[in-house]
Amino acid sequence: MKIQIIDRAKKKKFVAGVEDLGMKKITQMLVKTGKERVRAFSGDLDSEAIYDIWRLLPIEGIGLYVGKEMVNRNGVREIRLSLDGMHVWKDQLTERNVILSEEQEEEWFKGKNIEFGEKLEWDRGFVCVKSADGKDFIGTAKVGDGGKTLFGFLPKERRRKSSTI
Amino acid sequence: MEERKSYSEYLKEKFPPKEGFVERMEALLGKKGAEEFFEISYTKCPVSIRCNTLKIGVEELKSRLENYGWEIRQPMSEFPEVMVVDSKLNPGELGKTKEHLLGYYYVQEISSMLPMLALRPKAGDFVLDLCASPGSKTTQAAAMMENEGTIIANELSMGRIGILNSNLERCGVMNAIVTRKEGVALCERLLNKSQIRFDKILVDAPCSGEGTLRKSPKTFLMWNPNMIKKIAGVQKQLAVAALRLLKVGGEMIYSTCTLAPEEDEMIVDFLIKNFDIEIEQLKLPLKFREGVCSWEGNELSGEVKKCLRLYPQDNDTDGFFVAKIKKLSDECKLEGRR
Repeated sequence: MKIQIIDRAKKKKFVAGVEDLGMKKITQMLVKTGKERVRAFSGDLDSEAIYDIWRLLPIEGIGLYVGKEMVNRNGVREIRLSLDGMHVWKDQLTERNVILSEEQEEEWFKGKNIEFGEKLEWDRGFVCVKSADGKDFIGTAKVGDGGKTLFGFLPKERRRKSSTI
Repeated sequence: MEERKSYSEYLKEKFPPKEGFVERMEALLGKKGAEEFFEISYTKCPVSIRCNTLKIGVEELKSRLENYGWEIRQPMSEFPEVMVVDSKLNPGELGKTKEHLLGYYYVQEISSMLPMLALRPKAGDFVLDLCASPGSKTTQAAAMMENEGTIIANELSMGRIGILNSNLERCGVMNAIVTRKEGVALCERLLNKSQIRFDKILVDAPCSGEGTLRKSPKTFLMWNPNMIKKIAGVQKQLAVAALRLLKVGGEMIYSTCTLAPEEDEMIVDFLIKNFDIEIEQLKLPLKFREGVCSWEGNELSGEVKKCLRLYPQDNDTDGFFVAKIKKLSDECKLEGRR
């Protein structure tokens, strides 16, 4: 796996990309693996030590996958936080939060998109999706359909295959 | 009770123990002890989970799970994150909750939690988990280290690395680097080409699995003494290579989920005779038996008594073996190695 440790300027850019969710600061080291995937590493090693290990051993993973930095269909650069990335910075994610109803939460965990009868506060961009009790961040969604639908990005392995508990 | 009996009878018929296995267990435990061992080996283990303190507090998780109507017991006061679910659950129920999907708990047999409870990694440590997949012990270590310090989690099989990575993600582990290399080769490469040495190492070695019969009764059919000899050779190489990579003063856990002395005490005995180490006396809140000092004509160092043997019938868990080793110097009696 190719790794590239993200420098301070690019890290700032990453933070700026999720600023609308409330993010202000990232203390962990950020590492890019592949073209788009960004991972946060909280270990004690500095970048030189990490590259030393990388030269010696085949690395198949480092830190936690926290988001994707990509260019969308309209050519706009955007950042999509991962479910686990949201957990890391949950105290900062105070903006663009959508709390689901219990029925919607059930659909969410099946990997379905969520439709709303009325328009949401936002008509585009990413939002932080929270559970019905408002306690848990349960993923990121993209607002679409003029603010009436949430398109979810819950990874397959984090979905429920059948009925709920 | 009736259901448990019929399940047990079915397994006994389908997976009878081999004669050689029975004889060996009788030699270890006596006739009555061996009977108890085989009796419980045909029953299911209680369901245990570990609260992932990287994501949620113990009390909060307990209260959420109790809201599902689950009866939750915390059998170790010193380690409240260890929980047993006493209620009867539907198939798959444990993995379907929101709390599981979000990584708030990890389904892990109590015996498998012991190596990390014994190693006690702390924030700032540099830890090697040599045979890491599926990640139960790596995620446990990360939680104990509060995501600080560094873990090198190694696994040879590409397929198993996928499972390891997936579990590390779900549990929010941020201080681990996952590597894919054969264990001995990894140790030798780091030893010869770098200054990297570890504060703590876990060698949870691949083994013949005599302790996991309750969840994997097929092991009854696969068991054979030649396999034990063959695996013991691999285990010895792994333990030796890992020990050489440990800092002086560092600690290493050698553990297996088998009860065969060739794979357990005899490996530790080999380390005692060839390295400047001491075996640390472990205190864990379960009923253990001491290590075996004599086996099939081999007299082992009395130090191996400090190793812990966990028999399934003693705590209603799986079987397990744990030894905690402290490295006192870099001295090594093996030829050409220091």
